[in-house]
Parts: sequence; structure tokens; C-alpha cells
Amino acid sequence: MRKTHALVQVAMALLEDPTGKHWGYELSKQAGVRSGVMYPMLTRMLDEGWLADGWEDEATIREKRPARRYYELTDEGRLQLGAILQEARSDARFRGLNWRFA
Amino acid sequence: MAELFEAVASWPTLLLVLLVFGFAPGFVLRLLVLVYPCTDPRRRELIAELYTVPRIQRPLWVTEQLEVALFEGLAHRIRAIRSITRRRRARVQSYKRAKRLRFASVAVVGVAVGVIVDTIVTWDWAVGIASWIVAVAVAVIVLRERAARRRLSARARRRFWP
Repeated sequence: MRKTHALVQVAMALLEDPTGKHWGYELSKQAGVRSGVMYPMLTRMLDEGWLADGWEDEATIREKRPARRYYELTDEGRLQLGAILQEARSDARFRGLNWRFA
Repeated sequence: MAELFEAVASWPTLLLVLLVFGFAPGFVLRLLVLVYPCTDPRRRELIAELYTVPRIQRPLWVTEQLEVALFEGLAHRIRAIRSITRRRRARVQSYKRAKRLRFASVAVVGVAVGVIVDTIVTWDWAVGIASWIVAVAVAVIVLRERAARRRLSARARRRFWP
């Protein structure tokens, strides 16, 4: 996958909670990436096997809304995205990014 | 000032606000997700996500989804149509091949019958009988195919215009 600002930002947002569930809208807000860019990227990550997806359990929903789709990082995804962040940290192109965690 | 207040608090403004922030985002998004093939999970996902977006941001968020639907959904849709077309073409080709094989086997059987009959009766008789067998077999095949096609088109008519 091509290393872009959007990918690095999404990787950072995903790795802030590497074992948790991530939701589309929250992820785009957290990463600061437009959904027009983020959703195709999530599809590519799913195809690569970096992410696994699932649907929210309807019994746990309190509000009146349909079940949402969530994304979870796989072991492979944690490795790959970690490596991408490592590389990006030393890359001059990504110096302007707000690095949230060490 | 009073006029401005009246204009803001008027019924048309209220209706417009209800339309833009209440009805339109869900309606437009449901139309947009139709671009995705019906098996694509993104259809359900985007509709479910809409409910978590704050109401004030919904119109803009739905407009953003137009981009997603056009670039992602349309590509999926085209891929799905292409694979269906490929499968249909393969089916037509296999049907044509089967038809050709059927005609060839009828011709072979006809010639074989002619040769066998030739050993019993004269050559003219053998040719006559063999050509009759071939003609009858071809007629049966053609009639059966026409009936099958008629049945298929009737089924398709019932499916689209019940």
C-alpha cells in the first residue's frame, strides 16, 4: 500500500487502541481524514488482511439505530501499520504530522 | 430587524430546516448506497453510520459519501456487472458448443445408420433412410429448442412483470 499522509494518520488512529473496535465515523474524526479517502483505504486494508470486520451486537444497542460495522486490527495489521509508522517517523515528508504517541 | 426575525421564524424556514437536516440526509444516502452492489456490506454500514453523525453535520457528511459511492461503489458495481456478463457469455458459448455437438452426433448417427442399412439393402435406399433420420432428428431438436426458449422468455416475463 502506498504510504500517504492519510494512511499514516489512519494508522496512528488505529494504533492508539490496537486491540479495540474502531467505527467508521469515529475513525475518520480521530484520524482527521475525509470519509471519501478513509473508506476505500479500509477496504484495501481488509483485502490485505490487516483488518477484520464485524457487526455490532444488536442486543447491546440502546439507541434507536441499526447495528454498525466495526473494524479490528489483526496481528498482521498491527505489525504492518507499526512498520509504516516507524518508517514515516524518519521520513521528512511526514514531519508536519501531529505524532500522538511514542 | 423584526422582518428578519419573522423571516427566520417563518413556516417555510422551519420546513426547509426539517428537510435539510431531517429528511434529506437519510433519503439521499439511501439513494446513494444503491450504487453499491446489493451484497456489499458498505450499504448497511453507511446507513448505520449516519445515525452516529451529529444532525448538524449530516448534510455535509452525506455529500462526502457521494464521493465514496462514485469512486468505490461504482467500481464495485462495474466489476459485478462484468463478472455477470462474463458468466453469461460462458453459458451462451457452452450452449452453442452443446448445440453444435448435438447436430454433429445426429449427423454421425445418420451416416452410421445409412452404412448399416447399406449392407442390408441397396445404396439408394440406405441414403434415403439416413437422410430421413437426420431430417427428423434435426426437426425434433429445433422444435425442442424453440419450446425451451418460449418457456424461458415466459418465465422472464413473469419475473419482471408479475
